[in-house]
Amino acid sequence: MVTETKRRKVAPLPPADRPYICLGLEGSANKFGAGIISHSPGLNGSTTDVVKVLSNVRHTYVTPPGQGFLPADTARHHQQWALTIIRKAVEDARIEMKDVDVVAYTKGPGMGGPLQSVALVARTISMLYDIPLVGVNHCVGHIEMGRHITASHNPIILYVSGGNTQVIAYSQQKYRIFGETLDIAVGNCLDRFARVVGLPNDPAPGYNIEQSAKGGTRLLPLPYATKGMDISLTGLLSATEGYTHDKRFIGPLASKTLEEQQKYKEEGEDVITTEDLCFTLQETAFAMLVEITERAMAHVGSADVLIVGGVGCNERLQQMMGIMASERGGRVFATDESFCIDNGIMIAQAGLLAYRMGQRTPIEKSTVTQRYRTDAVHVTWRA
Amino acid sequence: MSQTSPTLQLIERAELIKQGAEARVYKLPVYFPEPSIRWPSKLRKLAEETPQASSSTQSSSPTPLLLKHRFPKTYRHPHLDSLLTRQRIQSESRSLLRCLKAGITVPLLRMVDVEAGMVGMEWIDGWSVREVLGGGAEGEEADPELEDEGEVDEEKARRRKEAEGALASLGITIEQLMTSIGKTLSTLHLAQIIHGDLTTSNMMLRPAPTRSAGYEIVLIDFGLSSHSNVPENLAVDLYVLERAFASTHPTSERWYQGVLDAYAKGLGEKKWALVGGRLDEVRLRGRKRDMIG
Amino acid sequence: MESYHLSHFPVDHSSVHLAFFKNVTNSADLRKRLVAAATMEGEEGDRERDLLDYAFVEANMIVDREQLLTAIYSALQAASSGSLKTKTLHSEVLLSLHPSATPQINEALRKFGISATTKNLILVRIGPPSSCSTTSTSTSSPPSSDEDAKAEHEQKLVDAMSDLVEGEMTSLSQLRESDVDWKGLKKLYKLNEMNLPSNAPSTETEKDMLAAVITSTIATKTVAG
Repeated sequence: MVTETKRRKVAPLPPADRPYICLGLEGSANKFGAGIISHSPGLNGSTTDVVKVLSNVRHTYVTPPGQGFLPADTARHHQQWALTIIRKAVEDARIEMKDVDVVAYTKGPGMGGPLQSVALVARTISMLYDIPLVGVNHCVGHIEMGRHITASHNPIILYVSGGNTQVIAYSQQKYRIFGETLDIAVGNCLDRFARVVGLPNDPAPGYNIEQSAKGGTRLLPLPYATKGMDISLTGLLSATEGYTHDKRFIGPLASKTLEEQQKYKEEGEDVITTEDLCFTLQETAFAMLVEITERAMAHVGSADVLIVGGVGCNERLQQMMGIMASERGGRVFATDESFCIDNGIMIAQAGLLAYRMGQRTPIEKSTVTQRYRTDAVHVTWRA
Repeated sequence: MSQTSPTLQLIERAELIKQGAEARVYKLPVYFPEPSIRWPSKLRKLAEETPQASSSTQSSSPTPLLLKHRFPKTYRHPHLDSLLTRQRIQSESRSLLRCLKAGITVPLLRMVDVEAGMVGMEWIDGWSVREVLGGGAEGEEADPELEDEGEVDEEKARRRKEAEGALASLGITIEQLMTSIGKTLSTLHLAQIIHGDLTTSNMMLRPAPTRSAGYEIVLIDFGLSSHSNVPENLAVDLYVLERAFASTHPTSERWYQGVLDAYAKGLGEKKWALVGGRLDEVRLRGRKRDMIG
Repeated sequence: MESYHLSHFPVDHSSVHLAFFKNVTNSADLRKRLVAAATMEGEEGDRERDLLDYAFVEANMIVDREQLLTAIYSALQAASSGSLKTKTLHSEVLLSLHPSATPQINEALRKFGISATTKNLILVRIGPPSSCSTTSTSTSSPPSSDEDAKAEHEQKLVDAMSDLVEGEMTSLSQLRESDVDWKGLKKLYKLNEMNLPSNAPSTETEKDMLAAVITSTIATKTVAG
């Protein structure tokens, strides 16, 4: 006999008594984003709120191939684009500034200069229109948006971006970090390798690695470092870089003439291509990510996975995670690039949840912090 | 060929216990079936006349075997997969053997078949420390309950109840349990074995009537283990456990301190000075880590 | 004699028969016959080899059933994956008992095989469950007659064993109580590095600990480093 007890606890967030609108501003790295979200009372007396993305606008600071983005230049980019992007977000949403209940901004983590630029913009709007402010943890923004878009109620979360690599599970009003990178983030690892082999930063270095990897045919040995639910990626990166100094390395296969390509293939010549290295790097790094995610699932006893963060757009990662989850009888949830890449709407979503729980960030406390751990946030809106 | 390998056929007679991250774990009720016993005809006649002559024919009662099947993980590249499977079976087997030699209670090994990805080992009758502490279960102290509990079938509920009552039934306190864990870990590290995945799920509490304490801590799951005596590695091993405690049993700081105290004592002052210092550094590294979005 | 039927192995070696003899008096003779049989020609040679088709195991080097069965399982595994290192399954069993990852067969024979002075002996026979089952693969015979054939085969085998060995057939449960060469085992399986008193094993607990390591060593040989 099976007892059918759904013991879902009642979330502390009361149903929306009126429409709420939030403008979210994000700029912790090389993207400036503004998004507007609304939470309205459920239709026909339903207690489930209607959540609507009214607009989601973004501009990315793209650097030339081989170059990363520096804090000062990135801050300047955000300052230049802030007004244009926010204006477009308001227009797209077909609202006016006075309709906005709360302005949410990224408090951290992220790069100092860019964070400060965005906070300044947020403060200005707040004072200009007399709208309260709420500072948001960037990672929690990713998580809340992912939960909303995919309707995955309580998944294990893999948060993978240029600055973060974490395996997270919710418990007792905190997003608890079960595993993380012990050195560099996976996005950072991919970006740095893209620079080494001169792949363009447009639209994103990680995207170009993903495309290049599709042409890879051989898996080269690389260090594989999982430690419990943590991973280490620096050894992997330097070993992959090492292959570019190997005598067999010939650069991108795609840059060779058809005759040359034919020759490599027919004669089975022992060459290493950029494609092979991108393929190898992805296969190995992602295998590590899937493995620690699976370990957390087994440990916590959860079947579903949500992937958030910029690297979460990678279709190979999504595919690998999907296979793992289905073997465990679970599901994988991922969002498309408009939500997994940094955006303003995720800040708006998390900010509005906090606002509706009564949270406000007074102007004098509307600071930013480069280091702001996911598990430092008190998640008041969940049970 | 590996599909029909005799080792894999064992699975068909076994019961799936859980699907961990590394492997599927099965319980094989009997490894070697009960033998049939025969005596030479000349002795048999004798035995029929004097029944007690055949009384010593009893063979040992069949013990269950735990089968750990590292089945192919299709999400990863087949080369990488077979390499990792081999490596982990190797690390696990070597470390378990090393533990047995060091007098650390771990499951003893009965069979290793790398091609099939299978290891057969002693079945441990007990509960994981995570179950005992109520991690992931409902309790007043620690309640990292995932909101969406879903259906709970009776067998699970019964086991959960039994596990949570284990301390009481064995007459031990949480503090005593923590001390035993810390002591066990210090012995492990003194034997230069790094577990690599210390969590409360990977430690079991087994009743042991022959021991004065009445129980013992059994360490399991050595797939990520290695051999080292470098303070950094010992410290990271502890740090992994520290984080597992914090995330699985959020109100457990006091408990974990008990583990650490017993560990320090077991390790000895001189060595603890090195490892403890390193542990502080590792912790700091964790918190300081760049978290750029 | 104990007979184990392992249906998951190919029928030709799905049955394992073990018999333990104490106070054996004809070891020297058996050894001579074994050596001679290897080179004996013609029908006579075949018949003699047939009569002696066992693994002859020095029982003083065996602490319990688990140790022996674990080695037998390894040998069976090697046979079914085509990785036998010796000519026969029976010699593979002796090889499997040796803790070295790459033992010489001569060394394994010296440690675990019968010697002229062997007092306690175990015979191991690995084969089909009954003499006819290799030839008749048809399913026409009802299961009961299969069982009968097995029983008959086992009885013949145990009688042949007791004809061959001059000694007292005893239950394998008695192994520990006989003259186990703990000193030799400790040296061979590198058990001296264990944190045990030098005169160990003096208690059952110590014996259990040593036996656990011995069995585990045999089981993990293929991945030993």
